[in-house]
Amino acid sequence: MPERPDDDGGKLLLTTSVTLIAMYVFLRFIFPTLAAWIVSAPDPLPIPGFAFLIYFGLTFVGVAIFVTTSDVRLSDFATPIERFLIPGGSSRRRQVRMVVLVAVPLIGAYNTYAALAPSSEPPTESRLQHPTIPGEFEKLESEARHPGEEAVHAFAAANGLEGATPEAKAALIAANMEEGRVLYMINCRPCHGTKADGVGPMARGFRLKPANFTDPGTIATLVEPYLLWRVRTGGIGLPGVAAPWDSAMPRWGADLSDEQIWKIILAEYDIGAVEPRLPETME
Amino acid sequence: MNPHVIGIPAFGLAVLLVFAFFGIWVTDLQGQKSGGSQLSGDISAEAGREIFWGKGKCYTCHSIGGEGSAQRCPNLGTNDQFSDPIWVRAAVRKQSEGYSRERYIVESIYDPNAYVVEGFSKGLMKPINKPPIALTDDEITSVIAYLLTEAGANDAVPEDVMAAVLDAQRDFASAKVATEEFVPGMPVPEGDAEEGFYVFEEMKCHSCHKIDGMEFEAAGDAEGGVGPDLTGIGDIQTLEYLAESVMDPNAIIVAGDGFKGDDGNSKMPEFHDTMTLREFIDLVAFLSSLKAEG
Amino acid sequence: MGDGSRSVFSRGGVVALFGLLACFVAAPVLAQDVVGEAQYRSIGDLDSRMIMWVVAELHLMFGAFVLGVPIFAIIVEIIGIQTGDKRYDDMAHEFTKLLSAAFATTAALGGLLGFLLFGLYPQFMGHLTGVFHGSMYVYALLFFGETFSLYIYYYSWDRLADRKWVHVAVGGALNFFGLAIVLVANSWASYMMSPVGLDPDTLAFNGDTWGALINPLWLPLNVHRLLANIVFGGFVVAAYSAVRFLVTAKNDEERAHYDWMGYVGNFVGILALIPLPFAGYYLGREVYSVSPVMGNNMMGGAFSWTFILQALLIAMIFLAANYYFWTSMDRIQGSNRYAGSIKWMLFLLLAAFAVWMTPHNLPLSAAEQIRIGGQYHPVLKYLGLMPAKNAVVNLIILVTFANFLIYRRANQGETVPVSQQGQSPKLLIPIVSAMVLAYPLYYGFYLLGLDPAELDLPAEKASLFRVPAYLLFIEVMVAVLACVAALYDRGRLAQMVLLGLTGILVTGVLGVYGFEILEKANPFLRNIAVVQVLLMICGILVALVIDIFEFRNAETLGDIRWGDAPARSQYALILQCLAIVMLMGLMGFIRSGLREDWHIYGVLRDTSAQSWTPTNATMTITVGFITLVFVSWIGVLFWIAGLSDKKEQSAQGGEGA
Repeated sequence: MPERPDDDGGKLLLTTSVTLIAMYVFLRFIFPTLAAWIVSAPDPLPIPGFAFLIYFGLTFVGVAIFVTTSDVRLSDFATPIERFLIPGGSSRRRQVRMVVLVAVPLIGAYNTYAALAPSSEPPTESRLQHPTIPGEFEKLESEARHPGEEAVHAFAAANGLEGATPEAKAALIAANMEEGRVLYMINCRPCHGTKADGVGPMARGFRLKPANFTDPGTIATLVEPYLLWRVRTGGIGLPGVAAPWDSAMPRWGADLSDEQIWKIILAEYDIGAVEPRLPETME
Repeated sequence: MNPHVIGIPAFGLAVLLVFAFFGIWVTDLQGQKSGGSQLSGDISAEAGREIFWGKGKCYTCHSIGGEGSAQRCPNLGTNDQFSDPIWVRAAVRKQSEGYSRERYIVESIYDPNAYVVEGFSKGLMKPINKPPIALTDDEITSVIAYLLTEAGANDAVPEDVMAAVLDAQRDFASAKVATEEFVPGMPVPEGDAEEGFYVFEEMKCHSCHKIDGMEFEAAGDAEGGVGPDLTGIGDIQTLEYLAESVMDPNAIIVAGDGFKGDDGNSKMPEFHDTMTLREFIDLVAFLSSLKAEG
Repeated sequence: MGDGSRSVFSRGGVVALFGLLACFVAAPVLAQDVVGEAQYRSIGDLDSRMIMWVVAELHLMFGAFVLGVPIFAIIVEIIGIQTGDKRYDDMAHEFTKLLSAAFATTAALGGLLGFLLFGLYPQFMGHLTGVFHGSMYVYALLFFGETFSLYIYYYSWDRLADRKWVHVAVGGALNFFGLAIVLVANSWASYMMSPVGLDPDTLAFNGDTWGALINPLWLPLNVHRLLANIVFGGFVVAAYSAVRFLVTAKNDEERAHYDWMGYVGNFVGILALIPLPFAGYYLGREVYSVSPVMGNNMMGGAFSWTFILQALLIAMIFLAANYYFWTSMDRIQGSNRYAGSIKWMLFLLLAAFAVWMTPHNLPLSAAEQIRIGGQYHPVLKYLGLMPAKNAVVNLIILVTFANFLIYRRANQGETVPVSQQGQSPKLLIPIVSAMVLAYPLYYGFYLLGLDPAELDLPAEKASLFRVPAYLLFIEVMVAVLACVAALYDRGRLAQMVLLGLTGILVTGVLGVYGFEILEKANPFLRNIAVVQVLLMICGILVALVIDIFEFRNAETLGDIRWGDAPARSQYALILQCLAIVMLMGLMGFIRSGLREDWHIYGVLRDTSAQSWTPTNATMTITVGFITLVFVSWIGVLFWIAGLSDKKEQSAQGGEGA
């Protein structure tokens, strides 16, 4: 049996180059169109530069790995390059070699310049969507969703009900929900939309769009005190890693009391048809 | 020689460096400096240091220990008068009223006249978030951070301390703090600062007050040093304050040696009979034009 | 007057004496402020936290080595006894030599760590000692057991050569003590994250030591650390062999020896690496149970980028492992038949890593944000979520396993049909498969009967539980069919179908289904992960059993040319070792940093000057530095251990020649 695996006869250089070029084309041109088709967007969605770096980098690493897996492959890959670079050969080869040896450093130099030159574009930043919640919020419980005894008593008394019965509590929670809905429509709807999907009438004006509450990655994955923190302190209250300068979320703590905010939170889960994240129980 | 004797360490080092590089890159992307407390944006003790010794003008009145030469206001480090630096003193200053160290320091910046250290004059320090210094809240946070790192001796301030500072700042920044500012009954009209220079010379102000970098004609016995140094006074005090100092020197007597006479009044004479209104207006304009360096 | 004056004098003297005594009494009272109440101390101006970090991490690394190696040393020794091949016994002996060199350093670092903790964090240690002092005494006593068994195990190797099972028993004792030691120490670390036995109002500790030992994160931490120790030990041994192969091997025989040792070390490491992600997921999930805020912080908050760095290191490890297999194919005669599969496996691996390394919070420039219309790319955002990560990690493991199977059969030629191998396959294949498939089958029924209320879900979600259960049933059925097919000489086809199906179900079906669960029944996601693990176990173990019998007594096309490995493959082993050391440092950073500014989460605040969370940049630099120190240090220790070698060898050489 022949020892040499897959003797491509120098074709390896060609196939690896084609792979790299194909990957580049796919990432830059085909993927944006594909992504736009998937989400029914009108224009192709460009691939973010960071993602491109990861994917293309991995392709490059993969090519390097593949080429070096055996001595035969390595020589398959390297021999044409060596032959190309060795002095001598036909005048045609000399000309091509000269062009390549001049062009490659120039391209490299241009890329370096382009990367380092100051530009008027704001820098790429990584914005943490769910930064760490401050400690004092961790253990809070929603007053609207879990009203305390006195609250239920007061409500029952005010509405002629019999006392702190489960029905009274349910009625209180329902009343909180109604009030929360009204408050939501007045305060939150302009940005977050009537259906809590982040497409309110004002949403179009913001670069950083208002959160889509129907998306499982937003409020559905957060505990309620987290929302209290966010609504109360707004965009300004975000820590640096969450890019507070990008967020247009107002600081509702200046206008709304905590009680009102809890009611809004109760309502927005309902409007968005998601459940808040519950502390999990151990098995 | 076996090439791997070099190859292996070099490879190992390269791997470690790549790993470190990724960590630094990822941190940069998030806009954080490597190492240091997670204060947002440009708020940092280093920025605070720049501001303290620069545009905040704190150094014009406050020294820190042996750094700086100002005597006008309490030394923020240790000296003959204070055995503890401000970051220790502040904890006990208003402890009986439930003030934490951080709250006291914040109050001293936003509402300096709420508590004035014994031996220093009230009304000397104006709220720093107002003109003429008008630092932003973030800049003030940086300055406080600088002070709390023991004036740069430590690397960073613990998160919960900074949180306390920010908390206190929110209270003071949003509240309508009533300060005992000098509220002028009438605004001071604009004068001619150049003419004011001559008024300063004619009235022999320079015989008691020094101004760095300015030459006046011979005054007589005293050549400055009797009254407070007026270098850069225009950057520190408002027009109204300067007008008051000339019109009524006893209203606020700066703390320090020799500014008060034996009768408890200011040694500064009054110019009610010797200065015309025009000269007064121009003098005030001149004083207000004196900018500090840096 | 004499009496009076004398009495005055003596009265004065008595008063003075009293005064002096009072001072002595008062002194401790006055001194209390200085002596007893210190909360933090520092060594001059040095950063206490950094000192702790470096010393603790070094102790953990050395400890991991010392605890991981005995596990596979004893297994290798047993294999040597069973096969009668002395090479295995010699290799186990060499492992143990490395072990004894590192042991004293580990203990010394532990002592240093202990003193630093008590000295620099007296109040915290006072608190911890109050909770755990009983177990601390036991911990110290266990070291006597470890020392005795380690040194007896090592020094009696030749003496007990004809009473091997006694020797193995000593090795067993060594492992027992090692395991007990790490279990006790783990409880202190996990207690700091999930304290128990606390009075709810005052947060004072009113439990007992052993109750505090069994805190919620103890068991997950144990499992994760135990597996990680084995991986760590294996890779360090493999790197040791690689270095000796490249640098000190003088002749072909030595090169063959170290090539083979590197292979075994790597194999052990990979074997334990395969279940490690599952253990890590279990630990992560339990962190969420203890505190959703801590959990959210871990995955979505301050440490989300750290996990991307972790993905980078794990990618390095898996790629290096697979690369080692591929580059080693050259020395296996007959391997070229399988060379074509390399590119497909590589493609699958890279696709999986591409998904795994896509961060949830993708950095975007302003222009990109505007064109994409928000903070998230509408397609790529899914790759940043947990179901995607779970799906691809399983794919990575499957591909690595498939690579291993190929490596096993690379030089096997004609096989003996299973039906002609007598009774043993007919017995063992069904029995082992039954053992493997029992729990997955049970779990499928469990899911069908699971009450959604147990997961705080409304009742109508029960329909969502059915799909994973059916997948388990399908897998079990196909596994059974595969066993039957194997017994009828269709084993290799059966393996391909089984592994292919496992891959499709775990990555394809459950990957997509996981997103639906994420949206509709988030608490159930943990069960999905369990199902994925079980499917993987089914596929891998049954395929392995079939493989063993498929290639039993098969014709070898030629010996594996040990010693013929290219230098590249040895560098891959070194890369693996560095990556696992850095990974251990990184994961330690996460575990420690999750507590933020608490010494004991929710109970004892960290009010020291260094209570802030370091950035990833600080972490990579510090961990890189620690890695450098560890690798150099253990290298020196190995060299010291090798000092006794030369004399033996030249003595042997003199006698043998």
